[in-house]
Amino acid sequence: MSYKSELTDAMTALAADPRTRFVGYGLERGRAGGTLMGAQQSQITETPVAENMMTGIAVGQSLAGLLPLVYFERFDFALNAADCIVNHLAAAYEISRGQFKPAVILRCVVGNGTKPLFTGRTHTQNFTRAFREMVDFPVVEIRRDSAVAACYESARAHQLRGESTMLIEFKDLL
Amino acid sequence: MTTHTAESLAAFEQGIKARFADGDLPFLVHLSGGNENELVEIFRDIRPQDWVFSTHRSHYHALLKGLPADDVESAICRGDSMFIFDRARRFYTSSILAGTCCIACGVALAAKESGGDTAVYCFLGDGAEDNGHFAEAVRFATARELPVRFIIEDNDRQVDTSHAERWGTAERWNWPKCVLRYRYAPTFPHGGAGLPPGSVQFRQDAIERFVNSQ
Repeated sequence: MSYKSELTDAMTALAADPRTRFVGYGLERGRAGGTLMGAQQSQITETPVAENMMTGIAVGQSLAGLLPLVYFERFDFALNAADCIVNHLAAAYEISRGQFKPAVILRCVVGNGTKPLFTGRTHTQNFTRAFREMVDFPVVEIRRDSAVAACYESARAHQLRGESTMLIEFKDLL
Repeated sequence: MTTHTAESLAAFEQGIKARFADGDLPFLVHLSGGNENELVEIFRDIRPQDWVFSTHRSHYHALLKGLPADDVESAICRGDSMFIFDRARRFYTSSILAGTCCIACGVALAAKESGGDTAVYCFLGDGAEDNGHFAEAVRFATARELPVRFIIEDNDRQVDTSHAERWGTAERWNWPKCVLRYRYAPTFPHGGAGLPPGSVQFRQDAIERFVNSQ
């Protein structure tokens, strides 16, 4: 199976739980590069292009008992959401002394650097190391087709325990 | 739902001020004051099933949401003035400017989708009003007709800087109807209890209590 078909299967598996929400922009139209074809329409939370808001909405959905995933079509853009990721999502458990455990899957895509269409520095940066320094939940790169399913299964297992995960995909592998 | 009055709120905060003056609170506190009547009125509409998102200045909000005064005081005395939470009472705080506005939208969106009778109230200061994250949340809440209300507690102060100083005009921005603004003159400064500089000697036992609680 290809990287993309593995991702599509992983998203479909997440969508099997009706509490799952996929949060982001362009999802109703583009379905995250087609990988959300297995999601129900009611599971799509379409937003404007406002990454901090996308993440905040997901945190709120989690507080309300849902299982959100935020889709960042480029990892570069997740920096707009760094405040919400670092100061809220990652900090809530500690500052609330364990009362609130928002759990969100952050799905980030590093743009392609080895094949067309080339998109330049601000669409191809990989901030894995930086986020590993800033948050205390797993930040995992998915570098092989065969690792996709296990990574998302693990992320969902973490989420059900009240823990977030950031997963990094690579467009070069599509 | 609240049993608090303007007088009981003010008395609580004066008690915290007294402990601060006594050197018993060796950490940053943000005391409320001057807005008791406005908050008592606002909280008349807030029910147990509703969520409240508060700010760094959370003491009055917590008391009015129904947190026991002893619990609020205990939290303050262990250094959690900015971190008062209560899951059961749906009370959440953040000291990050405008940070809760979009989170409140997420809770409100889930409430609307579920068809339940839950509303969300998100408090912020006029400093947070300046932040783009608030504008994003207001636009989303308005467009989606979410059951969320944003309450700007306008004390004309972003830490110490007035609206006119930071924007070049004292005129306020007009927000959609999901935003309520009330203006008040604060009793206390941004942080601390308004005591003369150098007048508070923090006690060693209080410092040790704080360090050991972390």
